[in-house]
Amino acid sequence: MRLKYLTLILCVALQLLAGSFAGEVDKRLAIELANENDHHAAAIEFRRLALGAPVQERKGGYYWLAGYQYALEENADMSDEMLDRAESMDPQLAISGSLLRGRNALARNNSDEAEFYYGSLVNSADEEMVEYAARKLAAIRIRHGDVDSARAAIEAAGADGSSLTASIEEYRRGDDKSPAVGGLLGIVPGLGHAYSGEYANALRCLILNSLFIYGMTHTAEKEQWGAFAVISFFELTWYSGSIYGGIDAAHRYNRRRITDCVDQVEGDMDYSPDWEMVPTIRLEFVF
Amino acid sequence: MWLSPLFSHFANAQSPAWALARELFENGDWVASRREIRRVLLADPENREARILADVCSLKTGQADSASLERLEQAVEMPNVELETRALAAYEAGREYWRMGDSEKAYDLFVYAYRNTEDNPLFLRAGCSLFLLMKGKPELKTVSPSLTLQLKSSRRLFDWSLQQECMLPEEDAGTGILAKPGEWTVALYRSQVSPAIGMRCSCVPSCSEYFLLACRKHGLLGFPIQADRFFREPSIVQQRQNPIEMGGVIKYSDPLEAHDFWLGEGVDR
Repeated sequence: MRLKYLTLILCVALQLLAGSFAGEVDKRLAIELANENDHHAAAIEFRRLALGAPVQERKGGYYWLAGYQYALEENADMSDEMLDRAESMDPQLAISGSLLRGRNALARNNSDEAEFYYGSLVNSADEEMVEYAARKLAAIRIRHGDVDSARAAIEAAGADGSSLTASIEEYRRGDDKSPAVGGLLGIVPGLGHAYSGEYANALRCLILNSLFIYGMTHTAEKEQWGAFAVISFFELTWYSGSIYGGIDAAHRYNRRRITDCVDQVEGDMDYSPDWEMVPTIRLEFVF
Repeated sequence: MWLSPLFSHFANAQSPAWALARELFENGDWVASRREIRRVLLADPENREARILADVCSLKTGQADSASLERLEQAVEMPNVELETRALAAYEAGREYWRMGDSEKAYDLFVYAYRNTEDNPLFLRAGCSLFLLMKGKPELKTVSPSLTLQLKSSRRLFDWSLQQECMLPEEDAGTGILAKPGEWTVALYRSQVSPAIGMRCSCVPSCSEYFLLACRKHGLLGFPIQADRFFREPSIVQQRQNPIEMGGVIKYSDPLEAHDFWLGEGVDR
């Protein structure tokens, strides 16, 4: 009787060992795929691991990793779905989940939602996470044109933000270009581009418009109405292009200013899970 | 009784592939779902539901052969397969027959799916597909007057987005009238000018592609947008920003989105 029980226990132990070894192999495959930037395949492997994991916490961790891989693939909806599952399995993943949710919201161009998630992290216990979230929050607010709040977010994080606040101040000191003024100036070919500092584009615009206006007057004088119609069609395109270009150049200028400032604030920061700890989620930040 | 956790462990060890395959199918990830279903079929070749879903995935990814379609059609007759799976098989087979121009077969299969499914999205899709099929083939309206009347009264359920989804690709309304001058210009350029001078544009998308995209998105405003691209092209090349290697040649990325983001969704639609 005793031998029977011992054999049974041995069988169970061997089975569990084999199961955990298989899990290890699958885990390694998923991690390798993730490291090869095959995020879609990695996400599927993590989902497979989650479905097979016997413990809720492990399931949650694998779902979080699947969500992370979908986020890297810019599949925000699937990423959020995986995070929902992860958080229902292990509510402690809600904090690191907010990081991914913020990223997903930005991928969907929903900056209000992203602001909410990053804003919820600035009081967390992890200093690196706080700095990451604060910088992201500042970048979102700069994009909204709310420079004071952006600076406040950086200062509230308590990180060494002197260079970051300097970048924000430099942005504040600069002036945006008015697209309306750019468009109005574009009535004079090239002047709209010149207003936003695009002098080479302005010159090309002026030359093309001048040539075609000359062509129009010349063909009209010679009463060559067929050629006049063709040249007029092209001139109309160039002329409307001058006005559109004046407006677009101003928008480009403003966008460039924001992008430069945001790049300074965000830097090359990123985060990734510590693969050695998987399926426990421990994030490693790089600034 | 005490062995139940062990059994559940064994059961879980068996089920993930099938569960994952079904999840991926529900997500519409046809390629991955097909791969997972094949994994399931290797372990259990008699799994009929898996076979049906594999055939649906093959249809969705354009990898189906005539045998897949036949199997889907036959699945409707299989009593030991879940009714919901049979309805799905009928709907997908119906769409394929519709695409192939066999309206009668498509009609029968859509009707089967419409009458047998309890899944609301599939019910709506089957109904909308039937509605659109009958719109193109009015003679089908006489086959079942009660069904025709039912679909007519449900018409308001088939909103624009559902109709777009259920429409066959060639029936797509296409681009707006304001995009036509741009499309004609590009067609003329590509057939008459481009073969003579070759690919000269240094940007991605090329100027003709950029113009086409601009016209399709913004109608006649595509002309000034393209003129602005011509003014800027030499500067883009000179600044060497966002280089992309294409076929051994370095080109520079200049997407339309970077120059019309302030226009919103477009004026043409």
